[in-house]
Amino acid sequence: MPDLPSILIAEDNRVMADVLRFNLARSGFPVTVASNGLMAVELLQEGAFDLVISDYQMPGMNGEELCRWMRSDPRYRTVPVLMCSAKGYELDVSRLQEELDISRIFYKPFSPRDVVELVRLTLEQQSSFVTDEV
Amino acid sequence: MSSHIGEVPLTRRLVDHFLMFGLACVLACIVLSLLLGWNGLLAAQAPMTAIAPLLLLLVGGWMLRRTVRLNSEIENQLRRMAVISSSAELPLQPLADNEPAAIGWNAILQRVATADSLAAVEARLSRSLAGLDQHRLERLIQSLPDGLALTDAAGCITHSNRSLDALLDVEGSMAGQSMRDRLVQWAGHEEIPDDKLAEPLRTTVFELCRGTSVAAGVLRVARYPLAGSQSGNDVHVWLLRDVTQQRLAEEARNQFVFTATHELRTPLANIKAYAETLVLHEGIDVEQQKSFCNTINAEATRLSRFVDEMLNINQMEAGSLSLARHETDIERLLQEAFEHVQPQMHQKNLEFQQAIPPKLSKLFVDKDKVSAALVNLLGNAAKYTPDGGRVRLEVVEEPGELLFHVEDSGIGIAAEELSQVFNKFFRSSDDRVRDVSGNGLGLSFTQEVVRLHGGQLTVHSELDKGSRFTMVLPKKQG
Repeated sequence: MPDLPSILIAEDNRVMADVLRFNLARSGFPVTVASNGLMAVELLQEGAFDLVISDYQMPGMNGEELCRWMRSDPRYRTVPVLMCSAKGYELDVSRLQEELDISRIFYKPFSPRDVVELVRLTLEQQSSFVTDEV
Repeated sequence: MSSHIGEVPLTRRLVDHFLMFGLACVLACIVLSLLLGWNGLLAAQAPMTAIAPLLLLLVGGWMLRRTVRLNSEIENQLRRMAVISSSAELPLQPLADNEPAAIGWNAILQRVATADSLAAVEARLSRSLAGLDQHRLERLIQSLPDGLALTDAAGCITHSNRSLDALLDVEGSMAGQSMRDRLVQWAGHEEIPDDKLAEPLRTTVFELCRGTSVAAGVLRVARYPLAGSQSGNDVHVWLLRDVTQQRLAEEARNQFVFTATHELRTPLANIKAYAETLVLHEGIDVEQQKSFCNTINAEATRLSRFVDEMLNINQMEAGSLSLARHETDIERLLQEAFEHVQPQMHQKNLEFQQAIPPKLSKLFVDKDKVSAALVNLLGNAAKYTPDGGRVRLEVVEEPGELLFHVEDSGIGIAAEELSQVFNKFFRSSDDRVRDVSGNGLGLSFTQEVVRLHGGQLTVHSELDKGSRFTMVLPKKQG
């Protein structure tokens, strides 16, 4: 049985990161957690991930900056990114999607089940995209 | 005009009476002559009969001459009036006669003289009042805190007050200078609504920011067409007001709203996520379930505290923050405060040191608010100390008061910002502070709580070394 895609969660709120990890792990996904954008960069450089879930507001390097770094590196240019944000932070969604190819932005509070479904859907789309290219 | 306008002299009046008497005698002679003649006695009185009419003629001629002379005099004066200029003094003189015409003439002159005097007084009074009003108006204009200026059709300043000079950082008169150019010079850029200013009859209002930062200065600029302006000299009136503080306050409040929203949504999101996880997933072991429930409980408490903080801030803003004092066990209060921040310290692997003497005196304080104040100080210490750092809580009991020292090995506070840390909504410009969530109200609230208790809150800090906050609470009600 092929391994399920591995997921990197970049979230400075430990409580939120833990519940996301729990839900994704229960669905069979290997999950790694970074507590901020800079740690996420280190982990990306050490290993391969198939999808990144990033909080937008993080100390040191926020989610947008992390994504920008990923898109500047050919190794992560096509890795799908799901961005998470508190609704009080009005993001320019269209700009982020166009400039940084962010797959989806979802808002807190969210349903963990919905996030797991979103991850599945995004990976399926990514997989079919890769298949088409091949 | 002659000052001899008034009554006819006494001598002239006496002469007039004698003349009237004489005339009466002449008439009497005429009548007598006629009677004598009728009775044939006229021949005997021939000399009288001849003299009487002659006398009559003389007297009549003399009286007629008086009247003619009076009318001529009046006519001559009116002729002189017809040829003089409007600004020359009136050449009218009173007439020394008791004829009705003369009396009437003199009355007219009297009234004209009176009117002239009143007119002169009124003119002098008007000039004085105008001078006074102008002086007062000028003082009023110079006293205005807002900048005020008049510009001509070319947009050049014709008049301005001192406040305008101060607002635009100008020394000396700006008369003749272009208002637009002065604004551009002040702002350091040309983001001026020239299209609106090009319409002379349009009221234009805009804000002008100095440089790119609101903190550098913001002016509210209003230009109005000058009412009643007909010539090209004064066409527009400009009103400039410094609105920097209002804009900074707006920015701080907007930032606060954003931060508050984030602070509310984060625990809400956690509560929802954990609750749903417990509901949807079967087979979660009991310990894990307990852990999740504890997390829900902790986040709910965090949310509750935040709501309380918001309410306290609201009361503080309204000046209605009040205390509910009770005798309070300080050791227990300290323990509860520490338990509140312990997860935060654990997460960052901070070393927590305590130096609390045993058997501390109880204080008569508002337990919830003092607890919130301590949690704020300890929470800040943990928040702004990098992983692996140190936070120390020391309590010193002195006669009459308790001192609470909260010290950290954190990022510290820049010297130029130390005086502002207790200001509402203030957040340091240090990027390391900006990266950490906060609403800028905690220290303001803490200071207010301490003040209401009659205590004192002070800070010593060194950038990159750490900070030490000291809260002093009196033992007796302050």
